[in-house]
Amino acid sequence: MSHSFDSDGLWIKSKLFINRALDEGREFEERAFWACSALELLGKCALARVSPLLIANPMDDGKSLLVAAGLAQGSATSVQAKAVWSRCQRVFKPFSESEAKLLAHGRNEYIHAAGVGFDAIPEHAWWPSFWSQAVILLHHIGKSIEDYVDARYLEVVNGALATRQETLRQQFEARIERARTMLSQAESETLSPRQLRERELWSFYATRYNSDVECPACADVATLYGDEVVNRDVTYETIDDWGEVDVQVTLWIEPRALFCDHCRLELNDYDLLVEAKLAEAFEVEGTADDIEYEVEYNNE
Amino acid sequence: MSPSIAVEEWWQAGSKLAMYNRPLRRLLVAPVPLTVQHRPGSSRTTSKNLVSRTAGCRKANVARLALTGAFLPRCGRPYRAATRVAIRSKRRAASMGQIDLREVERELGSQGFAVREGNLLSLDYAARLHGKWKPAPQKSGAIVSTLRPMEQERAPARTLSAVHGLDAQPLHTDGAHLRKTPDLIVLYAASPSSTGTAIWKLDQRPSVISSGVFTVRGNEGSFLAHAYASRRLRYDPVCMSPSDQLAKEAKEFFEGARERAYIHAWSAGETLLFIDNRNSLHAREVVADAADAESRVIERVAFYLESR
Repeated sequence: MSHSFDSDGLWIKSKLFINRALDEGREFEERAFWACSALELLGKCALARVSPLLIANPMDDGKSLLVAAGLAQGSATSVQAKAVWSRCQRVFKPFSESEAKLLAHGRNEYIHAAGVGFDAIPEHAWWPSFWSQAVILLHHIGKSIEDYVDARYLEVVNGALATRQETLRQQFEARIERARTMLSQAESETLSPRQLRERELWSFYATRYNSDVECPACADVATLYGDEVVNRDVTYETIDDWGEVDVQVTLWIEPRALFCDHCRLELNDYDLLVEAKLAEAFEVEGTADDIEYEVEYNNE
Repeated sequence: MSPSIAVEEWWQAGSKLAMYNRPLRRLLVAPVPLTVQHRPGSSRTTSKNLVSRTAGCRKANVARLALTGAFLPRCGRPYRAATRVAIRSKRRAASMGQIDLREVERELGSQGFAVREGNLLSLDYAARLHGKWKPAPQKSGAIVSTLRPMEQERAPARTLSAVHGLDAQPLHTDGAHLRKTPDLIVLYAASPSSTGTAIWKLDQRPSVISSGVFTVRGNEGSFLAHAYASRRLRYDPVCMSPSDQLAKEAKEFFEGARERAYIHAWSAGETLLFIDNRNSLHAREVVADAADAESRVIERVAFYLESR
């Protein structure tokens, strides 16, 4: 296999970049640039440990795929960062593609354009967000922060992670309080016209599955939305003497967001769902269409 | 040591190892610009001549001869010459006593080096008896490399001498440019010299040596590596450059270790210096004696340890 897709090589290169990101005497933008590059390599490393094929560029007539599969030698290219984020979200939960994209948003500007980049998120919020994503990938690689950064930086990293946790907690509490206040104002008809317009805006998630849960703000019925089936159970039961079979399909769905029609609470981030203790896959009843049959042989 | 003896030993080691070592077979048929005296009082035969003649015969026979020293083949003089060389070398090795490599390993574990009286033949004999030490061939295929002090201008590119000349070398591990570094290094001096070898065993492990990243300029392209990973050192400031601040600090740490290094003096001939290349760094001291610049010859063999 080419060294390009060697997970150990990607690991040490990611360490080099994170070291540069943590080196003293660099501006935030440069450090963020190195950190983004380190995160991308960390994602590639995690994917390559599953299979190097996951990071091989599939668009070069199969050359890179053949190299990744160990069937050819030579130069090979890997997938773009956006593909890495997307695949990591699918494989390494709860890695967030959207958060990674947001973190890396300034990188293109930094290296390809005249702008400085990395001004979308302030530095004090950027690092907690970065480390929360990096830790998820490290966990899936089977490594810890101690393996990734030098001992002298542990305090900084743990501080950023604590900040992240505290930020999430505050964000969650703020949303709960706001939803309660808005509900209270709506019931007493004291909402301003602007608040009224806002209340009229219903969030709608075009997901395939949903489930009712108790709203963490108003204790009414809220809806959990999700698309991804993480598990399924199919039971067949013979219901009469003629051999007719009843099929029961149960699906477990990864939640994506919560919305309460009553108080308008919206939790649209996986970490906020974790704070609300609603991040566990929810159960829905499926249909026979949800059973994954093998395609029937068709001799045509 | 006269050149003819060096060739005798080379021939002996090459013949013995040829049986199982493909690179040495290549070495066997390579022309060597020295001469060997195949019979006292008779005319000299060039080693090239000797080798080319024997190369046409079955090498397995040569190897067996070298091992047993008993069987005299029916074909001509080159075989007999080789056999006599083999017997003579074997006697010399036996007279030096056998090297207990288990004891050597214990010393390497405690102090990073060990010193024994012996030569390359006795080393080869001991390594084969031990069974765990496997010689690490160089890119050329040769197992034994000869180290001579060289001035900066005369030294080949990409060597320590090309950078440091006759000055003291920096502490380093051998084979740092390889993906898989050798486990053990054995240096052999047939004659004494006044230029010592510094050896430093890793006595403390600051985190920078395992978290700093170096770029290694290898023979088959560059790669990244830590100075200490998987319980082994890799450091050579000539082929490794620090790629981040932590690695720069690691470099400073290794430079500071020189003060704490043990200096082995090559005060006696026929000496073998064993160095644990996994946990020790070593370096040649400054060549202060002009005579040493011409006469100091160290032969080096690297080994990989195979787990039983």
